[in-house]
Amino acid sequence: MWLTIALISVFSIAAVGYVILPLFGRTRTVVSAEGEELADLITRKEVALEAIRELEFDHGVGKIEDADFERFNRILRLRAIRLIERIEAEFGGPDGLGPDTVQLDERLELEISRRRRVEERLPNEGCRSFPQE
Amino acid sequence: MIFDFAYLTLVLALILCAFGMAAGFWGGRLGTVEAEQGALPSERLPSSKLPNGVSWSTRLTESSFHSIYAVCGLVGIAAVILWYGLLTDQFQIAYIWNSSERSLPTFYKFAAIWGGQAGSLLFWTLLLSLFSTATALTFRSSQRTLMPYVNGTLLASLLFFLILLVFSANPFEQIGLVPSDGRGLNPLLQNYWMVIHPVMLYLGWVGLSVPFAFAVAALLSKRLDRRWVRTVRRWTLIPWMFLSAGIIMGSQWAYMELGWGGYWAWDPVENASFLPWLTATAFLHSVIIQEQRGILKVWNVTLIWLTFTLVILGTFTTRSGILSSVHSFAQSPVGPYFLVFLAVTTVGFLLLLFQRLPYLQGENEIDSISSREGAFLANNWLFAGIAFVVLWGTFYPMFSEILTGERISVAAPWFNRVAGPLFLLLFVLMGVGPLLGWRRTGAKALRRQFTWPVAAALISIPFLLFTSRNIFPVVGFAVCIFVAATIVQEFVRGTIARRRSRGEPVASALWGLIRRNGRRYGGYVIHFGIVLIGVAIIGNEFYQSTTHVTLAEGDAVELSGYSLKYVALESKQQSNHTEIRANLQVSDAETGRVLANIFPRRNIYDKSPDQPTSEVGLRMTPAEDVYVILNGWEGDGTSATFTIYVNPLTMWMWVGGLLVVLGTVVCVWPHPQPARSSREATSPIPGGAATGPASA
Repeated sequence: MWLTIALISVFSIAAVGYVILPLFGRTRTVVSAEGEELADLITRKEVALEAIRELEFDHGVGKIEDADFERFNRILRLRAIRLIERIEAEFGGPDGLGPDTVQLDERLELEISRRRRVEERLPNEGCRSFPQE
Repeated sequence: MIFDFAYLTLVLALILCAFGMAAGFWGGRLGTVEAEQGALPSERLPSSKLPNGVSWSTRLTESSFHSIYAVCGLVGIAAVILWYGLLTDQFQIAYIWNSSERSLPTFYKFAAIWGGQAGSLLFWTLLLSLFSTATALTFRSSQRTLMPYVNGTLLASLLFFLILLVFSANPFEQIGLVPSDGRGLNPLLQNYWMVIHPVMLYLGWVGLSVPFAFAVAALLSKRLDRRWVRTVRRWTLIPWMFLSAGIIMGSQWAYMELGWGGYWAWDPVENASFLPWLTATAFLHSVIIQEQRGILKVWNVTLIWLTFTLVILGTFTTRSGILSSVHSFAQSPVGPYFLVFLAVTTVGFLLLLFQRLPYLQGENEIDSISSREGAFLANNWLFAGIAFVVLWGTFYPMFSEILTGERISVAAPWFNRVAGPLFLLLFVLMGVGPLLGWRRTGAKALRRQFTWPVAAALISIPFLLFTSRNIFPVVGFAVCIFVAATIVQEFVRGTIARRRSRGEPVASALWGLIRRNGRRYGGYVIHFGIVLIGVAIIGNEFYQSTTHVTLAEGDAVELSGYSLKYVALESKQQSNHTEIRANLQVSDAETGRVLANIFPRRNIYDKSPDQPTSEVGLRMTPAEDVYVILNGWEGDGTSATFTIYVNPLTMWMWVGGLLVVLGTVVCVWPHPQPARSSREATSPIPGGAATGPASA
């Protein structure tokens, strides 16, 4: 009985200490509203880029007619460009997507082609690492 | 001593869990308030700072992470101790005395942890703590705003189960003496499918707490953008896969062990596992629409709440005994606890949902009904409709008893009659949806997409009419052929398009197609598995033949082209039971060629002689199963009574189940990720956000 109490006491001290430790010490994680907003914008941009890919795929297998493809493609690309523009306006320069002088629509094409190349880097096609732009 | 220690670890886990839950919600609340106050980085706000400069919200959140890890460790210790007790026959523990015996094979001793009430609750708590830990480790950095609330919600669920374990269903309760042997595991549970089937169901049910926690976190933090749905996509698919596998394995168990000729009886507890599957499947489809189009936000959070609620309701149904069921081996007084938990989560969630309605406005509208989102929306209504029908039928006996004082049961034919047509419509949509593109599919594209699948279905109808004059199976099979044809067409057209654009050989093009578009083509594999399950159900429902006979040794009976000759009755003593098995020779009735010998048997357990179990004799082929139940025998076996079924196409149900699992693996398999710019790489993007076309 005493051994049980002693053992659980040691466990309790260790577990409680472990749980309340972060209340007293320094921690690594920092939450920033700025980071959250950037993450939100990047997610929306990624969704838009995926939607463009979906549309191209559906058009390629004949599910979307040419006229509809043109219309929706234009809307989606415009949305993606606006998001890239917003990310750059609110959070700084192009950062890895090419020189500042590159136009936004060219930057979008860069992003799309980069995604394509990475997605095509398949196991049966060799495993070359994709160079950072 | 060790069992007292195990109980105290559960008490300690409960205390830390309560603290961690409060820390998570409080930390999240502080973080949200700080973010709202001028959108400043929270650590810069003087009001919430400690002397060394780190905010309270961060500290509390970190503490909630530590709580999750500590609770997981403590519950793990308790579970290991219970396993130790089971494997070493510690019958002074009431649970072990009730659920095990010395002669029980080790395999079943290990599985006995989920063979009874308290043990299964401990196992559930262990799985939930493991899922919580995995969630915390995965999203600790990438979902900084949501994680405090996610931790809080997961810990709240854990707290509920720990309260049950500590106050109502203590698995370490001692009986004050050491009995020489245990009472034995319920005979119905001594079947290999019963060893794995509950684990799969638990993994499914417990895993669905994670998307629910994210939904609550998104509502509480007001971060209702597309990030949380992208995050939970994969974390819903994985438990969904386990739940699907659990349901299929449960059907296998019912088919092999219960001995009534079928695999699904619309039993209340079967329905309890099926209901969350229906709503989770609806969610998996509608979440794609939210991700793609930014609509159905209210519907999605409602669906995931419904799924979680149905999981708890299902567990309540099993435990409370309010509905009689073949699964009534785990009843106890924990029912009221579940009812209170259910009421608290329902009221709490609905209040929160109404408060957050202004944040849940759709960003777009559906452009056209002839679009994939249109088909998905219709599919969601059908799933909801089926769920309602199943829920109503399941609880009708209870409602009728409350209202009229008379318990009126709803049997399988009612479910088949009401849910059957809805399932047929769902199958039609399963074929239609993938043929449509997002936003709008024009008339010309519709013609191009539908011509071959519709032609395949129409051509099949005259052939199908040869097999039956009943229109229902003919229509059912034709719809299955239509859906299968759409899937084949999708693979063929995708491969051709890839070959054309890249000049690859067929095999490489097909592999590349699946690898690059895993989510879309994994979804098609799942659909194909569901089609096979549908084929098996139609075969069994409309083409089954049966007879009930008493045969003397050497006598034979004919059924559906088979001749079954009763050869002898044999008896065999096993470690904890006696097997009485009949030897039946199955031959082709026309040619007399012997096809197989099958052995239907009854197991009479030493500890439960009045509860014999049935193990069916089975000859399984792709075309049909010969399925025999040994009902009884005279004296030493000079004659025996059998129920014989010929069940067409049943094997495809198990193949279909395998394909569902395989397809889900393809869906969740990580796809190549595009490299991010250095700035993007440091932003908190969901770790589970994979790239790949969204599809069913």
